[in-house]
Amino acid sequence: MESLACVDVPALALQVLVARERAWRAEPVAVVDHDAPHGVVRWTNERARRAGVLAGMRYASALALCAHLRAATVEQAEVDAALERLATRLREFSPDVEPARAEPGVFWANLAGLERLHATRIAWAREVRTALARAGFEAAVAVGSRRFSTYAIAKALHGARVLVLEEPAAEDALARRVSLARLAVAPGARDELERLGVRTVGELVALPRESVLLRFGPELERLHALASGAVSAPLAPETVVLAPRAQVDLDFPLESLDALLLCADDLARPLFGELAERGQAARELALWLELESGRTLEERAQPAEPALRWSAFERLLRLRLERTRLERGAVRIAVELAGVRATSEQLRLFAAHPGRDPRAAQAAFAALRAAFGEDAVVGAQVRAAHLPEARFAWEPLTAPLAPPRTGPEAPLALVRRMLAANVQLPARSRHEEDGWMLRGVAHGAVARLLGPYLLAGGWWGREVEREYHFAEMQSGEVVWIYFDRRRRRWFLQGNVS
Amino acid sequence: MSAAALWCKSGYSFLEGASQPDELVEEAQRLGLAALALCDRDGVYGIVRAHKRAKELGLQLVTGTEVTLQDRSTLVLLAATREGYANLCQLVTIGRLRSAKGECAVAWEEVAEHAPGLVALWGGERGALGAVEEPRAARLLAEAFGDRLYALLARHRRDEEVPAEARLRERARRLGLPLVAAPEVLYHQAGRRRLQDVLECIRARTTLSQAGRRLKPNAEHGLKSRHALAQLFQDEPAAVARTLEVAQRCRFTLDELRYRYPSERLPDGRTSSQWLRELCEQGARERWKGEPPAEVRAQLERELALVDELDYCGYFLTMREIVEFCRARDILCQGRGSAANSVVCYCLGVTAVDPVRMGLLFERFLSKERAEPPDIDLDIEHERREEVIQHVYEKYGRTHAAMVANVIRYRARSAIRDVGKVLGLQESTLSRLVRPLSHGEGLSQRALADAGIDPRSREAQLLCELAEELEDFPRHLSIHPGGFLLGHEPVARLVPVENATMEGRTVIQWDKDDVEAVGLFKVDLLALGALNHLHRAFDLVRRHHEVELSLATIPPEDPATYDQICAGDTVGVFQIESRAQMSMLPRLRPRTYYDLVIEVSIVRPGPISGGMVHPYLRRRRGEEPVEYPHESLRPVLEKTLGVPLFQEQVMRLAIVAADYTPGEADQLRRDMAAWKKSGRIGQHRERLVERMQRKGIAPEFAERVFQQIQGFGEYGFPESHAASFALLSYAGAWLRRHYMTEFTCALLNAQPMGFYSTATIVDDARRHGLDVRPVDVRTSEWECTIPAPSAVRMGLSTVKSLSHSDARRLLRAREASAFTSLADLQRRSGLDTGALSALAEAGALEGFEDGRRAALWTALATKSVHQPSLFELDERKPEFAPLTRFEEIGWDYQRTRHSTRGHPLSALRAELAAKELPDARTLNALPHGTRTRYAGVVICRQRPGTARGVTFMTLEDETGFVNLVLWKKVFERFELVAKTETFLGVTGRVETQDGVTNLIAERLWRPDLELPNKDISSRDFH
Repeated sequence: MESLACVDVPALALQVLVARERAWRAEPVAVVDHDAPHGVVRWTNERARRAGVLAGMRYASALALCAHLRAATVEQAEVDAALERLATRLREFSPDVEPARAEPGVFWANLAGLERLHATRIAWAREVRTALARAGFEAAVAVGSRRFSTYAIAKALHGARVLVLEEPAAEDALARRVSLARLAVAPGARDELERLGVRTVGELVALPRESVLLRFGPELERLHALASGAVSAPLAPETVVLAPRAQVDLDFPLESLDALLLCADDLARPLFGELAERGQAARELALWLELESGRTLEERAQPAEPALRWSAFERLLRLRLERTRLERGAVRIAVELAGVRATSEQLRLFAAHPGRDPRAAQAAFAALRAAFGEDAVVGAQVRAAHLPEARFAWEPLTAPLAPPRTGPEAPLALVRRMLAANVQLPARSRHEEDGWMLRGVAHGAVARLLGPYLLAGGWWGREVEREYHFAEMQSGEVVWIYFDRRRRRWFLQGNVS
Repeated sequence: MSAAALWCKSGYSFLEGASQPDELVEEAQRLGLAALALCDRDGVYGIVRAHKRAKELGLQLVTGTEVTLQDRSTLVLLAATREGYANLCQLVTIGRLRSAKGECAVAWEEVAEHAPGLVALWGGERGALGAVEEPRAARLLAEAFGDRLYALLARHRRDEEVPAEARLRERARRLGLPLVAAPEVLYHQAGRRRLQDVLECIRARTTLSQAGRRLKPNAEHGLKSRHALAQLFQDEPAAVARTLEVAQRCRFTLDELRYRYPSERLPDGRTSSQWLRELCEQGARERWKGEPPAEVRAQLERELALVDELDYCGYFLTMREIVEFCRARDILCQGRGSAANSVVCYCLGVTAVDPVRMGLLFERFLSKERAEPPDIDLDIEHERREEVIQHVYEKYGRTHAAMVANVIRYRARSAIRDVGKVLGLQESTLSRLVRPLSHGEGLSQRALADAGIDPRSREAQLLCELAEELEDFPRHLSIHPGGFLLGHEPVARLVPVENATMEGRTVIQWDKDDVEAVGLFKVDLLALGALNHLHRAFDLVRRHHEVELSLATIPPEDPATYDQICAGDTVGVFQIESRAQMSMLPRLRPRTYYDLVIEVSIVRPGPISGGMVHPYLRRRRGEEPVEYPHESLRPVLEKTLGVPLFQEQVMRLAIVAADYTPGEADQLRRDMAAWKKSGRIGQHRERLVERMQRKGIAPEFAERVFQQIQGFGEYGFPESHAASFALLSYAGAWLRRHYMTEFTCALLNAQPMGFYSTATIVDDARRHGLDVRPVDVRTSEWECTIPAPSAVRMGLSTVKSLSHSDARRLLRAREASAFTSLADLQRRSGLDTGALSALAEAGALEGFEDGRRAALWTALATKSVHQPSLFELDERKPEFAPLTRFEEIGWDYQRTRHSTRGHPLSALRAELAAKELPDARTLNALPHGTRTRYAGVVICRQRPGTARGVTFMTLEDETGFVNLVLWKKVFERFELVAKTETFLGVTGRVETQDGVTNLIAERLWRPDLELPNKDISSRDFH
């Protein structure tokens, strides 16, 4: 007789939300698909349901019923992360864990062979439930011998408790009493069955299987077949695909950079083959050096493009390690590769401009990043703003460089060159016998002043009021200055050339 | 030296300008400007409002527009002459009609073609003259406009303007264009810059923090004084001086619009005046079966003379032509509103009320002093109004007819929502904030706090200030429900025409107030469901009883009909079916047509707020003497027992008691309607009170009369309007009394009518002994039918999810031969699973299958592509549990929103009785003051603005209705239950007065019973 368990974490998205917004625990809470009045309520907690808020309602309607409703969206990534956490936690109790792909929050676990580890099956179930509760999830656990029955019973428990069924007959009988509303039956089919008076698993099983197929399609027919025992699905535990990783314990501490890299090379080479077999290339190589002192040093190298050869990483690692002082020699070296799907050929950039080598540029950028950190290479991104300093932003350069513009040269014009930071100018004197010496005596007085050009805005937040001028000094220098009306100070914004 | 502002955009540029037209005009006057040119974007939407205010202040207003070219650049056009104005309107019309709603694009060539009479100012931020690229249309424009083309210097103290201005100057020099100073004005004062930013964000659907360069960089788009303008252009004083030159050239004003109503084709060379007279004479002879009484004759002569003098004959002939068209097509129609005050309208058949017999005031409709066009509203049965609209288009042509616009403005809620979005508040927060606000209610500290916004925060402060500023600003243009502008010349020469959202409709850029203000004629064709209902009832009476009935031939003053009305038994009777009307009927006890006119008028905010209802009722019951403040007022107030109930009475009162002329009295009526907004009613106070006192009327009464007049401002009915509606009410009531089956069947087929649901109508009919039979595919038609006397068969149209085309296929197949089985039906009609399931669940297939579940099981078998026909189906049929009566009613409601098998509560009656809950009939018979509990289905929730927070609900069970009254505190305490529960339990006290029973709620609760279906709909807070 098989021994397996079904673990059901109901309304997973809602549980994720409540875990995220801990202050909402005592409030009526709902998960919505959009944080907007037309958004649809997906899940609700008991308090919200008591206030009349039900799944399927518009958010606006829900708010009308329950003014204090707390609602938010939950991203799929958050749910995926929760599933990952749950699976990891469950693997601590059984090596064979199968998450239900079509029903996130449902897991099966194989209990066969675990008798020596856990006194009883109920003890196992309770431990699982307690462990999940510690992780912040409420779950129901049904232990039995039939895959469908444990599933149906776990869903019927609705996260409330654990149940262990020793007799297969009792297990089946109980499963047949489970309401179809508890199971993952498509709402349309569930409603039609409800209208026919078919409300439980047992009543569904009583219908002819081929008639169910004709009316409700293969999904429900499969449920029918599973419930009636006509077919059974063996447990298909998820295999955890680990990143290629290798490590070696050294016989004696290594301090030489060359020796360390040689060693890493030896470790990495077979990993590249492993990755290639998966149809992937390495986008990152992680290197751990466990030092004699007990400290572990971690370095990560990302080449300009994913690669399947050590040389693409060696130079980058060398640059990084050269900056690092190893107080003691390394006693353990580990290497891990992170892969991405490999393309047949990397995009060729700057093809139209033979004078530039885009590959070399990318390689140089990679070297700069390796030497000075990930944010070392930045590019100016134009911003739609009025203030000169807000019209662009420096952002890490991630995209390939754009090809140089072709076409006729723009006519020469005056160019404003902005200072990295505005410079406060001395307060203007009331009596300027020699004129306004805003750049000091060396540049002479202001010979000509153009302006004011006004910039005023941001009244909803940090209000700004500036009067801009172009000032030509007696020395011929042209400067770009402004008077800050709010601070009542003059500033130098830049020069004009 | 003075100056003119030549490029001003108001809020009527829709989400661009941040001042109202009259604010711009007032500020221009205050700043001492010589003229202001209103140039809203691609239109003249705000020009009428500006014109009115400019005329009052004596400021020259130049009419213009900022037109958008196909290359998205702009050009400012100003109307120098009437011809120029017509060209401007036509040019915008071309650009608008070729574009999607809200957009406009004209070609340079089209601008050149429409240049005569226009002055063009070329420049500005989006003007092509200063653009980087050389403008391609420069020569074209220079040749078309000649010396009327100016280079526009627009300075807003932005550094990027410097090179653009240099280019503009250079090109102007080459083309020989004079420079004119005209900064773009988007608001009258710099303080509105914030609102302009907000509007820009709303238009761009972004937030202030995200808007970036979409916002103007500074607050330099305000209206500038001549000194400020001179300062800004101190290097170019000639450009400032030239603003006056341009203004001098643009002398066109809207007063020059000489509107001529389109002339009818007149027979035998008659003038329209002669033809109107002939038709009136002919109509009068028909109305009075010969020569009309002298009084009528005199009135007719007076009206005809005035109509002729004001040259309105064509308008009346048009209305008559439309009415004749309706008659010829058997479309029921009837004039409503003030037109019923006119004997000419009565003779032409436009209205159905004899104004002389009713003593109605003609001046309410038309007056020489007012010199405003008459306004005739024609109600048309709603299902056929489109035929009439298309007839008008066909008769006058698309170029000579267009519908009047309706400017959608910001109200408190929409303003808060949009400003909140712009400030970056979450939509859900805004929903929480605005949802509890009543209509017109502003933001309070508590509302902000409840929504999770700190009332002391800067965000909250901005939200409150800006939302208040935004209120009343135009949001977008919509279409008037039925207003047409007809013109002798193409409408587009009077006002630009653009596409409406609805296909096949075009709309002008002015709303009804603008149309009225410039003296244009509007024809209102309104849809009325009640006429559709009556028409259907007449047809059924003819078919089943061979009795020909019409609105004119229904026997008048039928006591049996009034008996029924007095009992408040008026479900489905136009105007007197509401909960409030039903409660009033047993108190007022109408016994004549005129009583009905009063009944229709008295349950209105005007009389209620004016405190006129109870004095009238007391006097009617003889509990209070009928007194008049002055003998001279007896003729005015006699028919309403000394209490003014109608607008006309207030006008007459002013005429008789305060020596107002009829025209002045009409102005009083208008000011009454707008007093809250304009405050103009105050001007009348002193005059009215003082003059009444001079006539010997006691000061207290004079003051009371004024208070009543002010109360009318809330909205009172004109007597003529009530008289027209009362005719329809009486006709409906008469049919209900004498032809209940036909009345009910027609009412069901006229749904949705907006008041009672099909379920309530069916239950009411069943309580009146009608045999209402369920939908059956073997006998039902699309609509409800009358299979036997006192029986109604529900139609297939009541089945949810069954389309009209499916039903047609089914009916065609049945016409060929009766169905023998469900498989036969499916094979011959080809209905799909959805339609068959709907019919099965509605019980319409019970003639073929043993129970609805079995029918549904069979219907579902057609779902598979492998089993398209039930014919070949060979399978074991499972046994299904039969539906309980409770479930049957539930299924009925789910599929047809009603049940002929019973009321949802009838299935629960035994349980309700066991809980000692009475039915409606028992409750309504309980003595006054009895404390009781009751449970019923909510069919209506109302919270009228005049009721000071009191909520009225109507509950229903299988025996009738219960009127529930919830005081504000009770409602607030049980708000959730009150708002959401369909099946509601109430503990309260019975209050009976004048035959009307109310249950005054003390506590609301959820009954501990399940309704068979919770989808029962109620009519809530309309």
